[in-house]
Amino acid sequence: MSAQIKQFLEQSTEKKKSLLIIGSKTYKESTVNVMLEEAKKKFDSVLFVPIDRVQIQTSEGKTGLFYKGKNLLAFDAIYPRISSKDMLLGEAVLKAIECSNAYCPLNLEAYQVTNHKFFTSQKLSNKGIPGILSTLFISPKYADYAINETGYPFVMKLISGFAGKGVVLINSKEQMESILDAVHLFEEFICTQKFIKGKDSDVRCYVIGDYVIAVKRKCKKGDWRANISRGGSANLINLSPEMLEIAKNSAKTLQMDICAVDLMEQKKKWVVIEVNFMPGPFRKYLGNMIVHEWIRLLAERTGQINKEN
Amino acid sequence: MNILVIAEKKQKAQPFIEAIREKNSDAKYIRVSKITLVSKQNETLIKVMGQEIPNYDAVFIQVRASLTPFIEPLLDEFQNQQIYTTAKKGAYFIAHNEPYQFVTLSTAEIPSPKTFSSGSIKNIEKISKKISYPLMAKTFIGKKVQQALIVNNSKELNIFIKSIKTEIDGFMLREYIEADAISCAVIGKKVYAIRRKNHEGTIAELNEGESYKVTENEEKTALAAAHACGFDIARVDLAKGRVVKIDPLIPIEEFNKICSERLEEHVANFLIEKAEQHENKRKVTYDLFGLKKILSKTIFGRLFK
Repeated sequence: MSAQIKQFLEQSTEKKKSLLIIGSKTYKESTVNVMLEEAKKKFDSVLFVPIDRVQIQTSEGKTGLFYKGKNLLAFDAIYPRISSKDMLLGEAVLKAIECSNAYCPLNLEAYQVTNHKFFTSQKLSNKGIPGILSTLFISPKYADYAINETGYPFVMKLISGFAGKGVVLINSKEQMESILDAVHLFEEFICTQKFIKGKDSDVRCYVIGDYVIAVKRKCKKGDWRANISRGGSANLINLSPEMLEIAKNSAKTLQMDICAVDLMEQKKKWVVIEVNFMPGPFRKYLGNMIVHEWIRLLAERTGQINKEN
Repeated sequence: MNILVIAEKKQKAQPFIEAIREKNSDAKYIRVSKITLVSKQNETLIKVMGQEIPNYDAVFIQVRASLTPFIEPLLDEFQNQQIYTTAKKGAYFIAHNEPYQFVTLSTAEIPSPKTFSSGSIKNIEKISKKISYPLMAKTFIGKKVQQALIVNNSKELNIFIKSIKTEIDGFMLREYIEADAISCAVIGKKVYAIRRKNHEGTIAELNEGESYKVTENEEKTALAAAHACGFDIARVDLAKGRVVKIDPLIPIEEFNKICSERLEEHVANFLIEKAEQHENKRKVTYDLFGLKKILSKTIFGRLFK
């Protein structure tokens, strides 16, 4: 049998695949369009639904997710691209997905952990993955004990912040006191991290199954945060075995098939700064490469599950 | 044997501390705001005023669900150190988010009212057609309830929709069960209850309620609901045998007054039992020939946490 006929027969007997992408309520239309375009090449049916349009239904021991009357839990694969802003519905939606048969590259616990800066650091460091010394506390009254651990200068992060927002570099006690008062007023919880001096770049590792794509990000002049969304720049790099291991182990610890692990160099060693549940695809610098890989993995894993079933 | 009670105020912890001590066991109170979690290389430390806390055999947490972002990493760490806690990791996440709580109850097949949750206000009217009146309508900003109202018909629902002026993160429409509320204090496998009268849609306050003996089914449901949500000790509210609310805090004074009980004594018995189990497990696992005591003073001490 020729290879072409064999391939044709394999394709024709393959089960039809459907993909649901659940987006954040603040989704980026251009990213969604590219994802849908790529997904249509690999899946027989594709649907995108922003999370605020999902209807979550619970009744007599049955849980359903619906959109315009369509049962969303009947899809073969579900890729939730939701942020900390979607927490209210996000936890409920992910819990429902976990009870379905759909392949999902992410999970509820990873969503809860990665949207909490300290929790991420705690989970990873407990597994021996190098991170930055971090503290978490409630009351500014006892802040001194936490700051004794990190020393000055330190970085203060609102635990629910993202894309470099809610992050402040604190150099002195006076500066700390005024900021802590404001934070307490807004009932925020405080996470502090030791500041890594002299670095104007970090490395974002896109973990996509067993495959890792790394990007070096440089912060814009005058800023100390390397987030691209804040105007930095980026270029592709090759990872060292050490960096590759850290990125893969972080994703494995949090049981995420798709994520981005941000690394920074500290005393000639690489440490994890954070793990992203919903990383942007850096299309400005990388084109559709990341999106293509996400969809490839989703199709591959869905195919495996369909075959097992 | 050493038991820790974590609360927001000393007076809330004191009855439990006294009850445990009356039973000749050690108990200590720590104010939650005095705790700092420190994540270092390979480990996380739980510190109070700069000092690492000693090993405990059981930890009782009595704080509001709104402290979830702090309590969840704390619970995770206690669990990591194999210390018994009255709330399992993930329990506060469930208690703090109402739509998530109802999905959890539903997936565990625990009787609860029909609920519909969504983010867009545009969906409210459409969804309301799937549920019969009267219904309970709630809007949320973040995970906090912004507005909650009983809606009797479509006209009232329209007024409710128009009253939503600010941007919300979601809403929930819940089947309203017209019945007295049964507030249960779940302590391990025991349930103590207060019946709160329903006067034309207004449920009486807890301190205006009366002592109530739960039916076998209600008891089963309250216990299953608390445990499905990760709590060994919690408050569970029922209406016609269905779960309408789970809260990590038990208002002990009200329950004691109305049920003529000393709930702190039941909590103490339960905690001592759990602490004993933990202590025995610890002895068998680590304290072979007293090695733990010797090694804990060396650099290997951390291994025993």
